Amino acid sequence: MLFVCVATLSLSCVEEDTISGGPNSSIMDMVPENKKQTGAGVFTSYAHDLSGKASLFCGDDDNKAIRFEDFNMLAGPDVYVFISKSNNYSKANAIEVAKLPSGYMDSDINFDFKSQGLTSDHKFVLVYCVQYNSLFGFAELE
Amino acid sequence: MIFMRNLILLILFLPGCPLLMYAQSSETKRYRDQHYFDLAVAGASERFSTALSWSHLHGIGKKKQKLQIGYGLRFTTFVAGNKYYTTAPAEYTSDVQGIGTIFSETIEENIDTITTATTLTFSLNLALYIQYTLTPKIDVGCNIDVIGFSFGPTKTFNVISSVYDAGQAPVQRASPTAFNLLLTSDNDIGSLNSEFYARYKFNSKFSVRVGYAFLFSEYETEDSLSFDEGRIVNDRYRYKASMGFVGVTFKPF
Repeated sequence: MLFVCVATLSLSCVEEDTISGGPNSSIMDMVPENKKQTGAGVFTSYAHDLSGKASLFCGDDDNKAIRFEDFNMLAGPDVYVFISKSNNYSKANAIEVAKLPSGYMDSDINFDFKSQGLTSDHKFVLVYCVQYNSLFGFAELE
Repeated sequence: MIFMRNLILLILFLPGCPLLMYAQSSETKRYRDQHYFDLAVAGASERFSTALSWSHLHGIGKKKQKLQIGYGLRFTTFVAGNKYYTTAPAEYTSDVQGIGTIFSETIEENIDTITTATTLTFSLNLALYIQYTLTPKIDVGCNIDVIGFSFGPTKTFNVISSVYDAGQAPVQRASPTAFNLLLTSDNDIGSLNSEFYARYKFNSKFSVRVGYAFLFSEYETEDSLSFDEGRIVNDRYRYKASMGFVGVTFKPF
C-alpha cells in the first residue's frame, strides 16, 4: 500500500513546466534583409519563462521569416515554432517554422521558412512542445 | 470497451432484481453474507490506477448460492500521462440521447480535445457487484461504480481543437468533475470505474483477482469553452482508460 501511494504521488509531481535543462543560447541575428515587417506582437507566456517579441517578415518571393527579439525561454524537449490561424495549437491550423533545440537568453533570432500554405489568417506565432502537448506561449501578429 | 461496460449494466439490472429474492435460511445465512476487502492495481501505457474497496455480497438461491449480488464502496486513484480528454456530454457526442446512446455512433466533428502532462483523480463511489462461483476455487464476476464524488488537483490543460473560437485563452484550468453518476455510455457523469474479473481462492480468507478494468476520468474546465463559432459550448472532458488489473482480497468472515 505504501508503494502504491509513493508511486501515485511521484507520478503526480511530473509537470511539463518543471522539465527544463540544457544550455541556454544567446543569438544575435540581424534584421532580415530584403524583407518587410508585416506584423508583430508580444508573447503571452504560459510555461518555461518564455518572453519576447515576434515579427513576420515578407519579401517579394515565397521566402518568409519570423524574427524573435529579446527572446528568453528555458530549454524543453521537442519545442517548435509554429505560425497558426489560432492562438491554440492544432495540426490543421499550424504551419511548422523551426525547432528550438535549446534555451535562449536575450536573443534575436531569425527563422526562415517557405510560405506554402500561409494565408492572411495565420496571425499567431506559437512556441509549442509537441511531445508533451504544452503551449509555452503565443504572440498575435498585428 | 463501451460494449463491455454496458454488458455489466445489463447483467446487474436484469428484471426481478435478485437482491430481493434470497431465502431466509438461518443455516445458510453465514455462507450467504460475504464481505470482501480488496486492493486492485491496474495499468497500461502511461496510465495507472489503484482501487481500494469493500463489498458485501448476498448469495442467491436456497442451497449452493453460486450466484452472488451485492454492493460496496470503492476508492479509486487514477494517474495518466499525456492523454487526450475529449468532449464528454452525450448531447454533443451522440445523435441519440438517453439509453439509445449505447448503440449510436460518435459524432466525430463534435469532439474537441484538451490535454495536459499528467492528470490525477480520486473517486469514492458506491458500486454494484455480481459474482458467480464456477468451482470451489474460482469465481468470475463484474462490478461497476454507480454514484459518488471525485476530487483532485487543478491542472492546466492545452486546448488542441482546430475549431476553438477566437478570444479565448489557449490554456485552461480544470479540476476533476465533482459528482459521479452512472447513466449509461456517454450519458455518464464524472469518474467511474468498472471491472470484469476472475478470482482464485487460496483459502477461505485470501484470494487473488485478475481481469480487465474500464475507467472514465472526467475533468471540468473553470470556464465553458466555445467551439465552431459557438455551436458547442462545453466544460466537461473525458478520458476512457482500458487496463489490465491484479487484485488481492481478504474475506474476514
